[in-house]
Order: sequence, then C-alpha cells, then structure tokens
Amino acid sequence: MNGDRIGVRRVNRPMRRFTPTQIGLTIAGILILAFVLWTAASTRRDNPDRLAGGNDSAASRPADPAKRCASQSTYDHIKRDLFRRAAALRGSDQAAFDKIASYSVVRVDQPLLDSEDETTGAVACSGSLILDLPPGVAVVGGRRSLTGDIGYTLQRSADGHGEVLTLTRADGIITPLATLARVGQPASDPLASAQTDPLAPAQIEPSSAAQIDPGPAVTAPPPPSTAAVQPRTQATARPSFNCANARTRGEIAVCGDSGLAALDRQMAAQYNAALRSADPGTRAELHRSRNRFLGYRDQCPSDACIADTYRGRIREIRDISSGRLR
Amino acid sequence: MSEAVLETRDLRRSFTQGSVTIDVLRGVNLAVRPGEIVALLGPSGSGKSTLLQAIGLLEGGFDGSIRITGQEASALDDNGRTALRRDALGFVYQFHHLLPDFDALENVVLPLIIHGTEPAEARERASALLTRLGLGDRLDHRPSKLSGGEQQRVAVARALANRPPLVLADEPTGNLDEHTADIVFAEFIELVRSEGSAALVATHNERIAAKMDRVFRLHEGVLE
Repeated sequence: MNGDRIGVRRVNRPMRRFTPTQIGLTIAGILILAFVLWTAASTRRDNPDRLAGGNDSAASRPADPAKRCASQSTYDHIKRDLFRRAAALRGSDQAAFDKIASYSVVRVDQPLLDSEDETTGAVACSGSLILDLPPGVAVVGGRRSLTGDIGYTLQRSADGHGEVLTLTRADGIITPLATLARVGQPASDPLASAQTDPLAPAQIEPSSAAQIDPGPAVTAPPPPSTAAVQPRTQATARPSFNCANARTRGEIAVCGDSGLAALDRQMAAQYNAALRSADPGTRAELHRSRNRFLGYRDQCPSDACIADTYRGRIREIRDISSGRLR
Repeated sequence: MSEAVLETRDLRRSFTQGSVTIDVLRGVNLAVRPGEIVALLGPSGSGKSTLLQAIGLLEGGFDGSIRITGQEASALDDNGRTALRRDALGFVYQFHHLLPDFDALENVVLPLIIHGTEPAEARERASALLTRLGLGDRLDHRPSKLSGGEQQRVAVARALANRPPLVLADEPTGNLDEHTADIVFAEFIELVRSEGSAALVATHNERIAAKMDRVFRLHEGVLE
C-alpha cells in the first residue's frame, strides 16, 4: 500500500509545478510582451514623417522600383527640388520659394519606371508632372498650375538613409516657376482680364524679394463675406462637380478659383480610385470621413483654409486606403 | 583689344563605356571676341554639341578652363554657374524647345522676367523682338500653332531677349528646309549683330559657315 501511495504521489507531482502565483506571473509576462510588440509596430506604422519627409529608411522604403518612382516621398523630393532650382535660376528669394513650396501640390500622372540599375539600386523614372501653386501667387500669364514631362533618377544615399533625387528633364516647369510672383489683384477682380492681358502689371508685380513674400496672401486672406463670395473664374475653374449647382460657401469658393478646383479634381480622383479598390469597411470609412471633410471645408473662412483642408483630405484618403486609419 | 567673351583652354571631355574610354574633346583652345560671329564647323560626331554643352555650362565632367565674360566657370558653384548662364548666355537649339503651354510672347517674356525686367518692359521688349522677326500678328499663338520657321524665330527672339554677350547656337536651322533655313539664319545673324552680341554657331553646313566672321573646324576633338 505504501508503495502504491508513494507511486501515486510521484504521478501527481508534475501537476503541482503550476501554482496560482506561477500561472499569474506567466500570464502577466505574456501580456507585457504583447504590449511591447504592439507598441513597436504601431510606432513604426504611424510615423508620418517617414512618408512625407523623404528620409525613409532602407527598411521602410518601397523595395519595388516602380513604387519608388511613384511614392509620395519622391513627389515631395521633386517639389522641393523644382522650387530650389527655380530660386537658383532667379538668383534670389530662396526662402520665399521654400515657403511657397510647402503650400504647393505636386503630382505625377502615369509615373513610369524607365530603367533600373540593379548594381547601384538607382532607378530612372519619368512622367507628366502637375504643379498646383497656392492662391495668391502665379507665374507668367497668371497661371497657378504648371504641367510638363519630367525625368528623374533616384539613388540610395551613401549613408543608407533616404534617397538622392536628380531631375533630368524639368526645364519646362523650372523656367516658368522662376517667374513666380505675388498676384496683386483684389479678390473681387475677375481673372478674366488676366486672360486677355496676361502680363499686365496689375496682375503680376515686379519680382523683388520684398514683393514675392507670399505670407499674408497665402496664409491669411481676408475672410470672405457672404456677399463677396462670388465665383471669380467660373468660366475656367473646373472642379469635379458642376459649378451650376454650387450652393455652399466651399463649393462657390472652389468654383471661383482654378487652384482650388485643381485640388478638388485631384481629391475626387483619389477618392474614386480608393472606393473602387476598397473593401466594405474601408468604403464605409471613406463615406463617413467625406461628410466630415465637407463640413470642415464649408466652414473655412478663406481660400487658404480650403486649400489646406483639401490637402488634408488627400492625405486622409491615402491613409484610409492603406489601412493606417482603420 | 577688348577681353574675349569666351575663352577655353585645354578643354577635355571623355566618356567611358564599359572598359572603353572615348576622348571626345582632346584639348580645345578657342576665343570669341565681343560682337564676333564664329562658326564651329565639323561633321556629325566630331564633338561640336559636346563642346557647346561644356561652354553652355550645361554638363559637368570637363577638364580645362572655360572663361565667359572673364569669369572662370570651374571656380563657380552650381548657383554661380546658373547665374552666369542666365546673365551671359543665350541658347538656340536645332529644335526650338519652346514651352508648349505658353504663347509666343510669353516664351520670350519668361527669360526677361527671370532676369529681373519689369513685366511691362519685358512685354514691350518681347513684342518688339517678335515683330521685328515678322511675328507681330502671332504673339498670342502657342508653338503648336506656328510653322517650323516661326517656332525657330521665337526661339531666336528668346535667346536674344536679355541681350546676352554670347549666343550659343547648335544647328539653329538644321530642322528647316533650305529656303526657310537661309531666311531664318539671315534674320538670326542680323539680330545678333544689331544687339551687339557675339555668337558661336555649331553647324556641319559649309555654306552657312561661310556667312560668319570666322570658322573653327573641329575634327576628332581638336580644332584644326
């Protein structure tokens, strides 16, 4: 019997290794480990500078050469370089050009990967670039949107952080951009006169550093009164919607400004593309956020505010589509 | 004697393809005086365009000295070369390279505005130049609405707009039929002289070269 009892004790001994304290400690350890892993993954995913700043590390940089040609980081690089070279061509106003660059929007239609050097990792790309300038500034002819075919190469930097971009064919953008000047007409002036007399002094002021400062014109135009909000260039501003049906303050402002109209078209194109490839959950989020965006836009007191709201919406659509905001 | 607007000394340029190195320019020495119109004559592949690229400060990778209006280009940084190009040089290419979204007047106004000319004055100057070249009724036409000869006239007006000390022209009438080429080239020469500029004109056409003040013959990367 003793032998049997001893034998029973031996069989039951392993069951006693997991005391309630031990089990509790084990669960706590697993939870802490899961939290640490989740935090690390979340930080890496949500760092906006990785996308916008152009200094994405080798780990987060798209490995696909075609994606490198078409990434937002690349477009931001292109924009900065265009303004830098335009300021160099002009020979002055670098600070003002940098400031205007931050308010401008660059996109590339049909970016193509032309070639890839597998040895160095360099890629050569090309596409049709559209540069939309912010309200308050324009180039020769009163234009606020420039288009042109460009070529660009991307080469990983020597220190392994970020990419070095070289524009190989961009004079069609840089040359007119170097004539950038503050638009001098009051908001109520019809831009139609600019089309018949594109270089009238009243439209483009002399290109001195003092006069190009876009600060007040870009960032804080006077709040429009209800009576003053009239389409200024309804004949030429073509947003994604029919301006004959424009009713809200935001819609009327967009119909009256070709730059805002261009932003609206860009946003609408991105929105429709996102909807086409979205799963039901993403689609619902896109719809919900759309109503919120329209509400913000229509409360804006100025064109600059509307432009910023559009740029924010463009980023938001991109983030929802990529799963970052869900 | 006034200082040369352009002077090169021992200008060299090589290209490497795989294990093969090709010496395109092998020590070019030349000088162009103010107001002088000089032909750079040579067959295709002789290095004319490479030499103009170097003198135009459009590419790096050259050895030797390039002095433009007395300034040594190799001593300048990127911004300095851009400024020298903007202030001292005008360019006419075989293909017009006009900006398609801008009309004839605007294409000529662009370099004037960049140079710091007041908009009204720039417009007046551009209009006068184009009218002188027979395009007074084409000012608001975009390049796509102009004939080849008219496009090249706009390009000539653009190159001369800022009265640069030196105009570089690479086969400026090479894309035109012979009759139109003769007319446009005569207008080009007349305009360069009347504006007081100098010009270095690359061509493979002996007949056109004979119309200029001097002829440099480029053969296998050296001047003969």
